[in-house]
Formats: sequence, structure tokens, C-alpha cells
Amino acid sequence: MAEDGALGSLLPVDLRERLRMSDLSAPRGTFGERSGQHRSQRPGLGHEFRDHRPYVPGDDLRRLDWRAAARQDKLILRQTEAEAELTATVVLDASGGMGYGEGEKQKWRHATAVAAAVALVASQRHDRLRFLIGREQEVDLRGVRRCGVHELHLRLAERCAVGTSGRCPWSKLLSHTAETARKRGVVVVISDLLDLADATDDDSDLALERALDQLAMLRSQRQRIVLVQVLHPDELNFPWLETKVFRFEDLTRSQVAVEGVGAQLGDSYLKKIRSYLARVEAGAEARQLRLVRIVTDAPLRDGVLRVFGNTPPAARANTATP
Amino acid sequence: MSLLAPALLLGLLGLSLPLVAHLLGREPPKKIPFGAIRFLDAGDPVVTQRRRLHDRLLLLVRLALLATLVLLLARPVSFAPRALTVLSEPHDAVILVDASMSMDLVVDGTSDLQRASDVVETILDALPAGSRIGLITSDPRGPHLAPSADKNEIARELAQWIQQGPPRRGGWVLGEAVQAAASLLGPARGRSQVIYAVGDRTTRGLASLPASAASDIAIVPLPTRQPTGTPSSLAVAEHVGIVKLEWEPAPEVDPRAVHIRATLRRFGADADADVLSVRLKLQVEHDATPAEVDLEPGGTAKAEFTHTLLDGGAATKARVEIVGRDDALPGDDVRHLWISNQDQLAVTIVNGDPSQLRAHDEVFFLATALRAAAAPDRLKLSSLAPEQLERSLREGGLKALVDTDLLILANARAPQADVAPIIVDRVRDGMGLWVTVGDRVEATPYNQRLGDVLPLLLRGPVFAGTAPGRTQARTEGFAPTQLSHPIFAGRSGELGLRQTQTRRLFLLEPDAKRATRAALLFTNGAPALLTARVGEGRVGLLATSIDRDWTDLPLRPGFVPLMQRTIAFLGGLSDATSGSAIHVGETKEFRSKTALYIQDPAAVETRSGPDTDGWVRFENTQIPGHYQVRRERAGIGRAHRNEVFAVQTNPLESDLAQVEIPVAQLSEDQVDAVVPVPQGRWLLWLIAGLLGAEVVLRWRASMAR
Repeated sequence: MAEDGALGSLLPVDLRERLRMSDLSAPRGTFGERSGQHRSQRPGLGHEFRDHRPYVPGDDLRRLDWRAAARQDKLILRQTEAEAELTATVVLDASGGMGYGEGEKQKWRHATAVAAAVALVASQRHDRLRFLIGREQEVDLRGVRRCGVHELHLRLAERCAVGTSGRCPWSKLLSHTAETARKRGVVVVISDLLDLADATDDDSDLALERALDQLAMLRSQRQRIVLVQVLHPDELNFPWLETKVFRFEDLTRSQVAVEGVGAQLGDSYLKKIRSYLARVEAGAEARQLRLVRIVTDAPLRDGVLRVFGNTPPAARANTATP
Repeated sequence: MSLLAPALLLGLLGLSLPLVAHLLGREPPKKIPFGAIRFLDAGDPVVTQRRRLHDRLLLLVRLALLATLVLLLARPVSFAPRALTVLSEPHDAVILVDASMSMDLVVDGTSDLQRASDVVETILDALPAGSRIGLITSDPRGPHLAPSADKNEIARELAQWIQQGPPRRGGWVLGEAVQAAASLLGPARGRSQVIYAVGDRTTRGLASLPASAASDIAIVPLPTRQPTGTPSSLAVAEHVGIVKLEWEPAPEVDPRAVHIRATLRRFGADADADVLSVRLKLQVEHDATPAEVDLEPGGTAKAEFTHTLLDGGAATKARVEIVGRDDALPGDDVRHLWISNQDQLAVTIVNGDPSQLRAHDEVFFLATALRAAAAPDRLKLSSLAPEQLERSLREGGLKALVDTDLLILANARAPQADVAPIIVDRVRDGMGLWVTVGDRVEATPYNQRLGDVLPLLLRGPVFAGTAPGRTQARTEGFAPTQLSHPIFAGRSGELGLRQTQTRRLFLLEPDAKRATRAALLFTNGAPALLTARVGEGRVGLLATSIDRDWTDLPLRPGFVPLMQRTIAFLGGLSDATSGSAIHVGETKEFRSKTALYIQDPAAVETRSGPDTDGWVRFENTQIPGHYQVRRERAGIGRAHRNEVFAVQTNPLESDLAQVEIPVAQLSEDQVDAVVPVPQGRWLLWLIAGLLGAEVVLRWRASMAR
């Protein structure tokens, strides 16, 4: 398949096999314009029985339940569950910080793999897919416009191949997501969630709260929110705890470089990052947002599967699900 | 060792600069691109200035590099004695430079001639003020500068001659130029006179110098390489040269085929050196034939080519050269010659005393000697009795001898009076005549009938030891060979005739008016072999027999080359194609009443007019190669031949065996000149090594960060 070819470069073959039976698992019925494989809130042209109701003029006579009509001596209409489609929205952070790491440990490698996996599963379930990418203070909306599923997958693969740079405009990105979101669906936010501020001088805690609030608003619109936080082990452990002098340069190129002795910088950093991550977990839990944290020293396959609920035993500790 | 520019050692103060720079330098922090920089606090300013030495080894290497560079700029030299002694008082001097081919020897990338130029500069620097200096070379065409106070002119003239002068391929002996140098000095006029001779230490170089040019002129030999007494002073540079090139017809292959044989020799190699493969190329017109020979150290090897001439008539240019080798002495790597399949000498032997006993038969000894020649097929021998010769002359007149190049009257009675003028006329037209005496030869008839062409008139036979005052020796030997005679051209040593015992010989009438040249003399001073030019022919007279009747000459080892060379000379073979090779710088003589046009290898034609005695002497033989002669008018006999000759390098110049030259001791006060020998080469190697170490250490340091 063409979409498999485009997304296949981002996903290993064995992972694609595992994803064949995966589901975006919408928790409740979803509204949709086309028939899909998810239970709808409205009765429709499904196969699964839902209820009977009296016939009113104008109903489709083909849906009359003749056996029930014989028993009750009036015209009874058979209602079935409508299998409506799901709309999966991928919000991908392509800021410079997501480019940290080398090879299979690169954060961008894991983030794009998750995005590709969502797209692949959506296409397998005949679901609608949209994606928004934020980089260089701009929101790439090409994944929102209406087009065929094949072309959409192709666009996602192309956007992922461009790479990371600059800052991600979170407010704008989440606003676009909210404006274009359908009534029910899944929104998968893929980011390291380390820099959710729109400007460099914004407070990171406030920015986190603001972003989580925006996502909570989305959830209130009956969207299922999945936060995929992709982190590099260096960001968790700070391996430069030495007496040498290091110069840390911002990958987004928006902040001035920080220079200092590794050990001194590391102590402060570790305290801050641990505190921040705890706030992320607490905020997500308070707003009933599903948080999946992926550390890139774990196998790519495990992290991707955890997004779809297939949590490997060894990785459960890194998963925070409200 | 000392320094030519010691002031530059102040540059060593600069060694402190890298040290200070190292201490003041700021250690560059390692750059880390990071995503979570928002969580990093920019703390207090970090002091990264070095408080102690880091990378001490790298610093040490850099300091050593700088120090070595300063030392190199200070130009370290060692002053080596050059065995160069000059008079300490002002004097007149002439620098005599060896210009022979052996000076083209290249050792360590520099030729001996270039080294000679350096020695000359050293002499000019060492001469005391007030001295006058001149310049001359062993090449007669080289610069001749009378002594003057202008030293710069000497250096300038020598450099110009080396760069723009004619090719120096000559085999001039340095000692022969001493007289010219002495004449350049002129009268003493109360000042000391010295000839500084600069050359290589070969037998034809410095070893050929006499002790002094005159009673008051000292000669100071100055070798171009290695001062006398150094361990390697007698080492010879290894090189390969073609020392001989000859050819002969090859009728067994094809009527037009010729064999060409080149003899190569490997000079100067160590005895335990490996066998050397040398590639050769024969170039005949536009055809090239390759060959390869193996040469043992100090050994010789022959390479034989067979070539079939396309044009059977004309003489053809041939050249053999060593290819694919960067030889130390390139001058002897090529030789030229003319080849032809029609170059044959017709020799008619008149056997005046045929005998059944070989020991008493002239023709037997003569034919045996000629059969041993390198190219016997080029000799067409015929034997006649005196009567047969006379009959054919009476019947045919001059035409009977027109195809004969050389007539040998071997112990033959004098031709009859009616036919003798025919022989005389034919000799004047170019035929060779050789008279060898014996019991059948009578002085009076010979003098009457052939007296006009004989080198000297015959007096009569005598027994050895019967001369007045001679009572002890009953035989006569031969005096040292007159190597200056054209018969022995190119020969450097004795023929092996000194021990000849001659019991009987013919005395000749002295005649100062006759232009004769003695090739051999008896030990008593009497001429043994005389030659003379008569008209366009040559006449030889051997004053003893060529069989064993009067002498044991035929039994001597020198008999064969003597016969071959004498016949070739008298028959004019040396004027024709194959025998026409001379050495560079030698004079080529032609018998001609008219002017000759001689074309050299560079296709430049020179007109040479005859002297008053009817000889054309061509001296411009500086370029090895093929020369062609065009006459204004062809004569009779050999003159109709296409006259060509080749000029070859002198093989004696290939032998560079070094001879110990004693250091000259001047009778008066003298000073020893020294020359600065740059010693910077090892510093260059040191700098290269330090640079390499610096790169490696710098790379390791960067990897460690």
C-alpha cells in the first residue's frame, strides 16, 4: 500500500505487524459522517441490535421487524447500532528540542514512529486522520485539509522527514486543534512537554498549566486526549556531572547558551526537571488526560505499543495513565 | 659547527610566547546541543583560564618545533677542509677546469662540473687581495681568460660556459691543457704563478697533471668531490656505459643483413651488488629494436642486434642507446655509427715468396690475422703471383687495379718498369700500397720504379746487431708504439710488440723532404713501419718481413691488431662508413683538393676548404652523432663513396676509477681554504618529525575532550 510505503520508513516491519490488531479504542460511542468500525451514539445502519421503536411515517420500511410486529400487533421498527468513524488527530511537536539524541535514541525518531503508528492504525480501521505539526513558530495545517487518506499519509511522512527546528507555537497549535476537532475523537499530542511556552521568557509552569487547560477543554468536547511525552535519558539523568566546563546550546536556538561546570549545573537541573515532570503527571491526572511517557533508551517498539494500551510489563513504571 | 647568522638565535626568546599564550589561554568548553536548556540555570561566571600547564607533551613539542625553526634560520654550517690550498701572498693564477665528459658525472644530484664551479668560487674567495686570476678549460673551445683582478668575470664566464656552452662530451686530457694554461699566465714578472687545476680524480683528469708546468709555475690539483684522505674519497659512482659499438655484415641471415654488437660495462658497483638488468634500443632510421642485458658488478656484457637494411646502397644511420635508466653519467649511454652492406675492402696480396711451409709464407700469416678480424667478411682478399699482377696490368692498365683498395707487395720483387707507373698512378688516385720486405726485395729496383711513392727509399737489408757500436744484441725489438699515429687511433695501450725479436731488417734512406709518419720503430731507432700519403692514397712500408723469415713478429700478440689496423688504414676503410668513427673533439682529416661540405648531427652544414697541402681538416666534432660529407667534385676510386663518419664519446672517459691525488704543497706561505657545508638537512627532518608528532598529539587532545 502506498500509505504503508510512506509510513513504513518510520515503523519497523514487526511493529507494523503488531499494530495490525491495535485500536485507537474510543471509550464511548462517537459521532461520524461515514461508517466506521467504532460504535456510534446514534442508531444507524449497523448489524448489532440496539432497540425497537414504533413505526412513524417516513421510516424505511425495510427496517421493520416483522416478528415483533406480529407479536405486538403494530408496526415495530428494528434499530441497530450505527458503526460510525473515529477522527484521530495527531498533534506533533517538531521544535528543535525534539531533535536531541542520536540514532535510535533520538527523540524525533520515537515521536515520528508514534505518529506513524497512529496514522497506520487509523487507516486500518478506516478512521479519519488529521495531523498538525508545530515548528519554527508556525503550525503546519496541511494535515487538516480534506484529501484522500493516501495523500494524508504521504503528507505526514513528508512532514516527519523534514525534521525539527525552532520553537513550537503551543497556544496556536492547540487552538487550531480545538477549532478543527470533531465532536468525538482521539487527540494524540506527541511532545517532550518540556517547553510549552510560546515565548522564551514565559514561565514554564504557567505554560504547562495553560497547555493542560487547553487540552482539558478539548477533553470536555468529548475528545480523548493522549499525551505522549518523549524524553531522552540524558534529559532525565544529566550525564555531565563532571568538574569540566560545558557550554549547553539551545536546540531551538531561541535561548542563550548556558555555560558552567557540569556538576554545578546538573544538581540544579535534576531538581528542576524532576519537579517539572511531577507537575506534568499531576496536571494530566487532574484533568483526566492519558499520559504516556516514552524514554528513548527503551526499544522503539515498546514505546509505540504503549500508546495503544499494550503496555509491556517492564515499561509500566514509566507510564502514567489517569 | 657554527652559525652563519647567529643573531637570529635571538628568536629563541620567542619560546616564551607559546608558554605565556598557553597559560593565558582560555580552555574552550565542550559544546553540547541540548533540548531541556530551560531547566539549566546560568550560574556564576566560570573561570576557565588555565592555572597550570595542560598537554605538557604537546607544549613541549611545539616549543621544540619553534626552537628548531630558529636554529634552521640561523643557518648552521660546518667548515669542511677542501684540500684547497692557495698562496697567501698576491700572485698570478689560472684556473684550469676539466671539461671532459667524465665531469658530467652526477652524484647526489649534482654534476662534477657544477661542483667544479663551486670549487672555483671557493678559490676566488680564498685568493689574497692583489692576486690576478684567469680561466681556461681543457676544452679548446672553452673560455680563455687571461689573469686579471676581476674575479667576478671569472665566475660569470664559467657559469655562462656551463649553462650555454657546447656539449662537453670530449675526452680531453687535463694534463694536455697545462701548457695552454701556462702560456695564458705569461712571463712571471716577479710574482708567483700558480695553476689551480679543478677536475675529477681520474687518470685523464687530475692524475694526468705534471708536477709543474714550468720551473716557476706550481700546479695545484683540486678535486671536485671529497677532499683527499676522506674514507669515501676513492669511491666511484656506479654507472653503465656503452664502451664499444661495432657491426659486421650477416650474409648468413640475409645479403643485406648486418649484426650490430654493443658492449656495455658496469662501472663502480660494489662486488656484492646484484646483477643489473639494462635495457637497450637500437635505432636504425625509424626502426627501433629493444634488447636487455644483465650486467655483473664491474662486468661487461654484449648485446647483439641483427638488422636488415632496406636500401642496399647507401650508408644508414644507426644508434644504440641505454633506455629506462637514470644513469649517473649519461654521456656514454648512446653511441652512433653508420652501417652499410656494401662497405667492403678489396685487398690484393702479391705473394713474392710462396712456400709450402707456413712459417715462411707471408700470405698464411696475413690471411690468418685478417680472418681473426671482427668483420672478416668486409675484407675481400685475393692473392696473386708477381707475374700475374704484371700480366693483368699490361693487359688492363689502370682498370686492372680500379677495384683494388689495397695492394700488398709481400716480399715481392719490384714490379717491372713497364707496369710500375700504373701502380704509382693508381696510388695517387687513392689506392693503398703496402710493401713488406724480405729476401726477394731489392733496394735499387724498388727505388727506381716505386721510389716516388715509397715513404723512404730503401737502402738495404742488414742483420740486427751489426750496426756500428752494436755488438751485443743479435736481435732488435720494437720501441713503444707510436699511439699518436692514425693507425692506432682509439688505442690506449701497447700492442704487445715490445718483445719482438727481429734478426734482419731493411735500412732506409733518411729523407727530410718526404712527409712520412712512423708507426713503429725498432729499439735502435730505425723505422719499422712507415706510412705516407701520396696523392689520395696511402703507402706503408714494413722494414721487416711478415713471415718468420726475418722476425718472430707474426708470433706476437700484437701482430693481429697491427695487421688489421694497418690494412684498414692503408685501404682507406677508416674513411668509409664503418671505420669512420672518431671521438669527440678529434680532428677529422680528408684528402681533397676542393672544399668539403660537412653536415653535423644538428643538420648544420659547414664548408671546409683544403690546406695548401691538399688536406681538409674538420675540427668541429663536438657533438656525438652522424656526420655527412659532400664533395664539390668526386675523384676516382674511393672518392666516389658516400663519405660519412660518426663521432662517438671517448670510452676512456667512462672509466671513472679514482686515483689518489696528493695534496699540493706550495713552496711559499699558503693558506688552507675551507668551505661552509650547510648542516640544515637533519634539522629539516627533525622539523618534519616534530610536525607529525604535533598533529598526532593535537588529535589525541581533541579526542580526549
